[in-house]
Amino acid sequence: MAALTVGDKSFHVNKAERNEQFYRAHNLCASDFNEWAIVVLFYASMHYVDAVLCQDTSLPLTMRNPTDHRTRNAAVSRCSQLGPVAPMYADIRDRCWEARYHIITFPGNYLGKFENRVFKPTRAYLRKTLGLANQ
Amino acid sequence: MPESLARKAPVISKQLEIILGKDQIAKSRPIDPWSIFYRIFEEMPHSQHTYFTSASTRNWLRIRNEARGLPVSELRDDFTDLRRDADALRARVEVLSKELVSTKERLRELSQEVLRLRLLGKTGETSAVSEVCEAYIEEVKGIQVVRQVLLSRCEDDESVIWTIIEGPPFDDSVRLPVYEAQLKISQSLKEDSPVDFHVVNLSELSQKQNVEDILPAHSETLWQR
Repeated sequence: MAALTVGDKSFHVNKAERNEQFYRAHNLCASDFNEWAIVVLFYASMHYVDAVLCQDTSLPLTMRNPTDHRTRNAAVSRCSQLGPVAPMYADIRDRCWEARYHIITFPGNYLGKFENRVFKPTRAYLRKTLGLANQ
Repeated sequence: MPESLARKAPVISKQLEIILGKDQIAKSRPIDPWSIFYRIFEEMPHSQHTYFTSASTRNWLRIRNEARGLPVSELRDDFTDLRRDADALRARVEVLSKELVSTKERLRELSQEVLRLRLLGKTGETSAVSEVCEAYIEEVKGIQVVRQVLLSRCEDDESVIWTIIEGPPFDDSVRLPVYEAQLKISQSLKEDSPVDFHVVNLSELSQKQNVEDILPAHSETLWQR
């Protein structure tokens, strides 16, 4: 595998795609542990977001390569390219937080709805913005 | 016959009615209370009603005679008075209930104002938090599912605005307007947002969970519907 530098678009896309591969490889969409499925989908989204942020030269350097969620959230609100999916990203982020701390497991049919109505549209937009093909 | 007398002296009252009714004396001629008294007590010399004095008898008879001369309108019964009193009380209770509702509303407004003033009185950073809070509340209070907005400060002094909503469970579409409001606030800031945001849907909590279990201790309510 080619060496990737943290903060590169390729690095973040690679991380996002690996998270998605993990999701599919372990069939998390059908898993009883659907809370962890949400966590994986969040980190996939987060790396797509980071891939967009690292290319936005209008942002301060700290925001282009955010090291914490707070800075990333601020960067998302400043990055005009992320505007259309920022509310959905906030939703994915909140669901991930719930999955980690407050919800034992999500209802059986929730994950499918979440994937179709929130994650996939967000992912499709981000990949298109990054010039990637939507699989 | 007054009800209180009838209760206390049922036999006497019955006798009085019989005597007065038979003799037709009420309207035509004055009653001799003594004759009635003796007629009654000759028939029941050992009854408890021997305590009923002649003075009391005269008094009741006088009242009765006077009452018969009065027009019906003057003879209001107890129920009429009670009904009138009840109506007056009911009206008063309604007025008080309305006053209570408006007082509660005013108290809530004042408590929110106190919180805002308290926040404004603190450091510059807190003042920035306060401004974000105020602007955010203005944005979300029009969103129907939003029930409450709270502010918490964690140990690392990171402020979090908690938006409590009540909408269909696990329907992400009801949350999106709240996230859009958050985005609008963050975009309007010249500097980095001094707060983080979280949304909690009350309908998604399990039966054993309370929203207080999720929120950090000492979270302050900034606004509630």
